[in-house]
Amino acid sequence: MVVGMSNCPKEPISTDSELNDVFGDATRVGVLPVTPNGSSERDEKGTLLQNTLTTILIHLRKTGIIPSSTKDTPDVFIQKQKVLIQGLRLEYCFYESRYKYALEKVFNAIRNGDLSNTEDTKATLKRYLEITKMLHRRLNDLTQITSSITENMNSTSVGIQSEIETYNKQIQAQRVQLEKQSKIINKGEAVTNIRKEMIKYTEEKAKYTDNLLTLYSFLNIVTLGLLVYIYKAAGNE
Amino acid sequence: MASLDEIIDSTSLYQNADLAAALHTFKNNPNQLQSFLQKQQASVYDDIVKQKGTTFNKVYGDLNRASKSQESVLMYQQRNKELTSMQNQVYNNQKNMAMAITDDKNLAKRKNEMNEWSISNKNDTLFVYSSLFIALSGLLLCIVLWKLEMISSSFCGSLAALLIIIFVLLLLNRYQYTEILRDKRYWNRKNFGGKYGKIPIPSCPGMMDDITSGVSSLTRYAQDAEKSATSELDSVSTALASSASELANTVHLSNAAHAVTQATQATQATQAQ
Repeated sequence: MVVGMSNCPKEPISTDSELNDVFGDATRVGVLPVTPNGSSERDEKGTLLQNTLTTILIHLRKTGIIPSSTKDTPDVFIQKQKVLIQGLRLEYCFYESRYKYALEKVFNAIRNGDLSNTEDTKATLKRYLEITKMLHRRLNDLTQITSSITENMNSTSVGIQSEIETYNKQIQAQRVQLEKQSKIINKGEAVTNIRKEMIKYTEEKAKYTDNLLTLYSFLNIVTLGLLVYIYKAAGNE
Repeated sequence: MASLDEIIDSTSLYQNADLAAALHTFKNNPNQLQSFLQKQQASVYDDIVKQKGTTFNKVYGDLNRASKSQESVLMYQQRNKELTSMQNQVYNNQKNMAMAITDDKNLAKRKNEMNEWSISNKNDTLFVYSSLFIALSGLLLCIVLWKLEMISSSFCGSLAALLIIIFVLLLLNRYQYTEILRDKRYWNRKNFGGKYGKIPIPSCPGMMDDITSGVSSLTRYAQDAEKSATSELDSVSTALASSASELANTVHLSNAAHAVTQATQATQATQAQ
């Protein structure tokens, strides 16, 4: 969803006291620091230095405003990410409405100065100009931080993709192992069945031999008895 | 044709003149000046706000796209994790199954070996039983013949003793072979107990030399065997020839002796008459 300026809620401010308000409340925290970054953390054009951006991102990650794809479950991560993106839009609209108000005040002061070039008019113009510059920086900072969050997301996606490749390789390797195991199982089952049949066959052979042994035992006993009987009969005669 | 610099100069001149005229007009008419300034300021305001909005729109759009992309990748990773987990379960199950089958196979093989050994042992016992039956039948026959007085008691006794000795020797032979020499796993395998040493294996580097020398020695042995066979054949044929001549001589001499004997007998008969 691309949000344009027209998508910002129409909540124009009406008093000067709201110009210095900071975005955020008990339920929502902004990504911009409460105190604007000083000039030492900016370059000559007024944009934030890379180190400063990195520090801000680390802080946001620590406070959980930027979700972590490794710590959170995917569902929680997606939910937090939605909250972050919506918060960014709300924060931008918050400062943008003040910026517009201040800008209008500046132009009004310029027009008034053209009509009555007094010290009071000059002071008013200067005050509004400072506020406008501050809000302009806030909006620029927010844009820079949003861009950095995007870069961070892209780099995280690249990291996740490398993990995915690792998983894919693992899946492929296991697929090969499964195929090998399947072959072993199919082949092994056939061999096992043959061996089981062979066991049955040997058991049949054992039964046959047992029968023969019983028969010969019986014959031997009969023969021995007959032998003893005949020997004794011969002895009696 | 006028040069470009001349055209630029004349244009600047016209512009300056127009600007001076406009300023003069605004100076004389402050309301018009205010209106002009308000219009210009509104234009600048719109431009500034539009630029800011466009920039943020782009960045915010990128963020949304990156977020969607990351969500997709994350879900893909999640699916991959689940797939890997499922595959691991299948792998482990199949591994256990394969191991069970391998164990079954080994167990069945061993059981088959044991059964075969047991059956062979029973067959051996059956052989002894049948030998005993033959011996007892022989003894019975002896006793019946002795009772019928067809053979003498001493012959019967010696025959019975012979049968008993043969049976006892057979029994001892089978016993000591099975207990000492027979392999305990495979019935048909005999243990030599290292009596004859191991079969020498030729070393690989000199194997070809050994084969070559073996082939040459075999060829030499074959040639020698052929020569000796030929000489033996010669000697055999010579011996056969001499034997034949000797036989002929013997036959001839025996015929002569027979004739001499007949003549002598005829002479003695004549003298007796």
